[in-house]
Amino acid sequence: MADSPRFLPLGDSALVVEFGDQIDPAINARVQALMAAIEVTGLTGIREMVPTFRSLAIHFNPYVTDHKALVDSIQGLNTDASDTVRGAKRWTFPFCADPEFAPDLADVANATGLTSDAVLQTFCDSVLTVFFLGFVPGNAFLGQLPPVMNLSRRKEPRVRIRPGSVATAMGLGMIYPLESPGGWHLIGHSPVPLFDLSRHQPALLSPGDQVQFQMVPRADHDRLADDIAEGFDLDQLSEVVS
Amino acid sequence: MSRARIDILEPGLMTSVQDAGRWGHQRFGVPVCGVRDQIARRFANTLVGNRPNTALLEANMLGPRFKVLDAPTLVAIAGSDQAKLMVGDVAVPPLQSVLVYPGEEVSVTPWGDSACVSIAFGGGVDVPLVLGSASTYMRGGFGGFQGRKLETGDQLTLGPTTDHTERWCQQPLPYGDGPLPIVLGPQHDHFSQETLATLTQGDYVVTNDCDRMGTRFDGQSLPHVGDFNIVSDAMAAGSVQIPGGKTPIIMGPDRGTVGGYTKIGTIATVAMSRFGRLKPRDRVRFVVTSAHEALADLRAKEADIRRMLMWIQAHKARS
Repeated sequence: MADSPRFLPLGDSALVVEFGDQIDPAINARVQALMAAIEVTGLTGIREMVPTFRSLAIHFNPYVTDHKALVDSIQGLNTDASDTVRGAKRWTFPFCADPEFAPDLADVANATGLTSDAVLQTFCDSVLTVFFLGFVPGNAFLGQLPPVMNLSRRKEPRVRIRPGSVATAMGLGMIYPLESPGGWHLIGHSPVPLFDLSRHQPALLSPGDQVQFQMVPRADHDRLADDIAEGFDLDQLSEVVS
Repeated sequence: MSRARIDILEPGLMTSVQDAGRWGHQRFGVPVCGVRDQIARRFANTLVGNRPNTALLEANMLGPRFKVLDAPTLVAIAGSDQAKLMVGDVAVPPLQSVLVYPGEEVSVTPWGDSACVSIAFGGGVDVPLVLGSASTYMRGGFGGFQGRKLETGDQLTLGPTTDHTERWCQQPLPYGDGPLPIVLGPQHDHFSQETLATLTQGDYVVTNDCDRMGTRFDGQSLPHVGDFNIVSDAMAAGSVQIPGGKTPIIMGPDRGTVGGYTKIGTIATVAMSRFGRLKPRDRVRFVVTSAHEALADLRAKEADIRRMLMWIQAHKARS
C-alpha cells in the first residue's frame, strides 16, 4: 500500500495532490493515475488539471467547489497506478551533436568523468519517458538517464537558447520548444518541433510516451529540418507501443 | 452591421490584445495569459456593451494613440482613476464609454496609479481565437494580434455591433485595500515560523523587474530551511516564489505552467487585480489568510461586482 498523498493549497482556487518530492517513475505513475481517475469520474467544478513529476495540480472554479469538497471526493477514488498509459507512443528523434549545437558537451564530459563520445552514447542509449509537459508549450520533461548524468543546472543560465536545442540536467533530457532562457546543458539539436498550432494536437508528445534520440550527421539533420518545414509527417518517427 | 477599424498611431509601451485568459491547456505547457487586471476587463467591456470576456487592449505603463476608421465605435477605459480618453481635444473620464466617429483620433493620457489600463471597444477586438482564447502569448508568438504587442501601423478590426449607447459607472472599481492576502502553501513548510512571520512584518517594494510573467520584490530576506530548489511543480496566478535570492517573485499571467523554486504561498484570488496593477516602487505588505476566508472574501466581492455591472447595464450615460 503506497503512502497517502498530501493535499496542499495552491492558493484558494487550486489544490495540489502531492505523492512525493522526488523524480521517480512510480510516483509519476500515481499522478497520472489520479488524473485519469478524476477524468473518468468528472468531479464538479474542475477547470483543468496539471500533472507534474510528483504532484497533480487541480485548478477549480471557486464559486462551485473548494479544497475540502475536492479532497473528500478524491479520497474516495480508486487511484491504483497499475494501469499503464494507453496509446503511448515510442518516438525516435534525430539528434545532431555538431559542435555548433553542443556548446556544453565538454562541460558535461568533465562533470561526469566520461568522454564526450560516451556522454552522447549514454544519452542516445537511454529510452526516456515523458514525465509531463510544462513550463512552455509542448515542452516535455524526459527521464531518466543513468545516475552518472545527474548534473545540476548551469550556474549561469543562458539568456537565449535556440528552439530545438537538446539539453540535459538532473538526469533528465529536454528539447527547448521555443526560443527562451534556460539553465540546462546544451548537448545537441533536434529538428522535431514539439509544439505546432497547425496540428490537430499542437503538443507532439504526451505523458507516458517514450523517446530515444538517434545520432545523425549534420547534413541529415539539416535535410530533415527542411522536410519538416515542407510538411513531413512526424508520425513516421513514432510507433504505438501500448 | 458596420465594423469599425482601429489604426494604431502610437502603440504605447506595451499594449496587447487580451481576454480573461487561455484556460484548459496548462497540461500541454501553454500559459494562461490574459489581462493583469481582471476587474478592469469586466468593467471596460460592460461599459461598451460587450460581454465581459470580449477581447480588448491592455496597455502597460503608457497608453496608445489610435484613429477610428470606417464606422463609429464605443470606447471605454478602466483600471486607473487618472487616465482619461482624449477624443480630439475632449477629455473623457475613465469608467465612461464614448462614441467615437470615423476619422477621430483617441489617446489615453498618462496615469500613475496602476501598471495597466483596459481599453474596450464596442464589438470587441476581432482576432482569431487560438486554443479558445484571444489572449496574446508574446513569448510563444501566438494569440491576440499576430502573437505580439501592438506596433505603429497595426490595424485592428472590431466585431460587428449596432450598439451606440454610452454608459457609465457611478462608483470606483472595488479593488479593495490593505495588505495583500496570501494563502500559504504548497511549500510553506520549507520555511521556519520566524520566516513566515517576517513575510507579514515588513514592506516589500516592487522592483523594475515587473512584467506579465512575474513581479520581483525587494524587502526583508526570507531564508529557506534547506534547499530553495524543489522538484518542479505547478504554479498558479499569484504564486509567491522564493528563489535563492530570498525575496519574492510573484507570478503574473504569462508565467510558466511549472516552476522549480519553493512557493511560500499564493495571493488570494480576490486580490489578484490589485496585484496585477502593481508597478515599480509600489510598496506592499502581505497578510496570511486561510483558503476558506479567501473564498468568503472572493464571493462577497463578486456579489458587489455583479451589482455594479448590472447598474451599468441598466443606466445610460449622463448627458
